[in-house]
Amino acid sequence: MLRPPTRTKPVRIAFQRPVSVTQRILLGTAAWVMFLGLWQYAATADLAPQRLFPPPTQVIATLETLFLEQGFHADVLASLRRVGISFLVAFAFALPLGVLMGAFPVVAAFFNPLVSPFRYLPAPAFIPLLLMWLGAGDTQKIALLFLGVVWFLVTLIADHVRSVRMELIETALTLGASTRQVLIGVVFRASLPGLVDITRQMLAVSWTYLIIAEIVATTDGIGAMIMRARRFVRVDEVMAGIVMIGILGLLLDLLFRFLHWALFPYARQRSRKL
Amino acid sequence: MSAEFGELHVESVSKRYSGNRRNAPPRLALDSVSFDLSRGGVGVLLGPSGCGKSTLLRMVAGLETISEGRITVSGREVTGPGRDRGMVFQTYTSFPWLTVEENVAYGLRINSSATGRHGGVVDYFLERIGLAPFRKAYPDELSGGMRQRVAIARALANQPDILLMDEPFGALDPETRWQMQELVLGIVHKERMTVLMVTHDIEEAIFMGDRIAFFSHGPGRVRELIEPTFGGDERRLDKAALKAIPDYGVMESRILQMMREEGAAARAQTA
Ligand SMILES: Nc1ncnc2c1ncn2[C@@H]1O[C@H](COP(=O)(O)OP(=O)(O)OP(=O)(O)O)[C@@H](O)[C@H]1O
Ligand SMILES: [Mg+2]
Repeated sequence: MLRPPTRTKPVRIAFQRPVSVTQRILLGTAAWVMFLGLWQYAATADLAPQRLFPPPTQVIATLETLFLEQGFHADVLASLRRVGISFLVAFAFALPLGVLMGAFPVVAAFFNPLVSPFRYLPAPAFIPLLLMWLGAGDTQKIALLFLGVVWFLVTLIADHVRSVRMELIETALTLGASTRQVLIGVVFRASLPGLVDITRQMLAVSWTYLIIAEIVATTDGIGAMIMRARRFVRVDEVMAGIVMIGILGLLLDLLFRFLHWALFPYARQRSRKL
Repeated sequence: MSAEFGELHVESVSKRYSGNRRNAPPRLALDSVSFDLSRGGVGVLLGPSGCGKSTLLRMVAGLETISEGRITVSGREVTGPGRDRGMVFQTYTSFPWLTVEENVAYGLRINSSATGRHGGVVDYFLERIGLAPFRKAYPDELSGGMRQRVAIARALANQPDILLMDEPFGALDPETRWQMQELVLGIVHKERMTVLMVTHDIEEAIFMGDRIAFFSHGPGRVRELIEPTFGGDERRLDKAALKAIPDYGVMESRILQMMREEGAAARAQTA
C-alpha cells in the first residue's frame, strides 16, 4: 500500500504498546496470506498426493460445488438449527440460575456444590446415555450440545453477576429501590454487556461440540457431511466442511461483537481505553 | 416524642463486627455513640482512619445493622435502607448505562408510578450542578468531579429527609473540591436539608459543619463535639475570609492536635 512517508510509522515491538487499526488489519492479513501461501505451496509441491492434501484453491472450489450442486445449505441450516435451539434452551436455563447465584450468596451456596462438579464431566461421555434415553434423533444431539455449555454458562453468568459493584446496589437501595428493582434494574442491567460477551464465547464452545454431536448416526448437518466425505476419502470435502464451520463461527462471533457495540453505546469508550 | 422532619437522632449506638469475614475475632467498631442534628443542620464526622465514621454513616443509611442503640430520622427508626436517607459514596456510583439526566431521574423514576412528571425537578438540579449541557452524556464521558456532581444531584432530586455523604470530595483536586463544597452548601441551605458527612479534611469540616463529631480511635467514641459558630453564616461565603478569622486558626490547630494524639494512640495500640 502506498501512503505518504510522513505517516508511515514502523511497527515496534514493546510491551502493551497499542497497535493502530491499519496496522492491525495489515498484520492480520499478512498472517493469513502467509498461512494460505504455505498451504498452497506445500500442497502443490508434491509432498503428498493431492487427493489426501488438496491446496486451498481446490477446497474453495469444492465448497462452491457443495453449495451449488449438492444442497450443502440444507446441512448448514440443520447444524445452525441444532446449535441455535440447544443454546437457547441452555441460556434460558442458565440465566435465572446464574443471576440468582451471582446476586445472592445463599443461592450460590446451595447450587454451587451441585453445578461445579458437572463442569468437569465431558459432555461426549453422556452420548451413550443420551442415545439410550432419547434415541438417535435430533433431541439427543440438542441435548448433547445443551450439556456441553450449560454448566459453564451457569458459572460464567454467576461469576459475572457477582462482580457488579456493591456501591451501585447500595446506591439504588438508598434511593428507595425494592429488591426486585435492584435485581432487574441494577444487577441484571449492569451485567448485560458481559452476558452478551459470555454468549459469544460460549457459542464458540457449542460450535466445537457440533461435530461430535453430528458424527453419531446423523444424516444431515455439516458434521454428517464430513463423515460421509471421509468414507469416500474426499479430503477436499472434509476440509471444505471444516472451513465452513470456521466461517460460520467467525460470522457468529462478529454478529455478537456488533450486538455488543450497537446495544451498549456507553460501554464503547471504556473498551477502547482498556 | 414529636420529631420534626429531617431530624436525626443517634442514641447510644454500638457496632460489633463479627470477625468471620476478615479472619479476626469479633471487634467493637463503635462504642455507644450519640449524635443529634436538627433540620437543615450539617453534621460532620471527623477522626483518624478506622475509627468507625463510615460504619456510623452506613448504619444511618440502613446499609449496616445496628448492634446496640437506635437511630431515628424524622422520628422513624432506621431498620434498613430507604429513600428518606440518600447516600453519596466516595467512589463513583453513576449507573454507566444511564445518561446524566437518567441518572439524576433514577430515584424519581423508581419511586413514582407516573413517569415523566418529574422533569421539572431533574431540570432544576441539572441546572444547579451545572451539568445541563451534559444531560445526554454517559458517565464515562465525564470527569471525576462531574460524576460526583451527578451522584449528589441524583441523591438531592430524590428529596431525602437527610443527605449522607462519605468523603464525597475525597477523590477531587483542591479547586474542584472547594467548588463542590460551596455548591452543596448552597443547595442544602436553600432546601433546608439535613446533611451528615464524613471527611478527613479539617478545613472542609470547619467550612461545612454546623456540628463536628470528633471520633477517638477504636472502638470509636465521640471524643468531642465541636460547633464552629464564629463568623455566623458569613463564614460560608468566602473561604479566604473564613481562614482570616482568628478563631478559625485556633479551632484548626486544636483539631490537628487531637488528630495527632489519636494517631499516636492508634500506633501504640497496633504496635
Ligand atoms: N465489614 C466489616 N467487617 C469487619 N470489620 C469491619 C468491616 N467494616 C469495617 N470494619 C472495621 O471497623 C472499623 C471502622 O471502620 P470504618 O470503615 O467505619 O472506619 P472509617 O472511620 O470510615 O475509616 P476511614 O477514615 O479510613 O474511611 C475498622 O477497624 C474496620 O477494620
Ligand atoms: Mg471510611
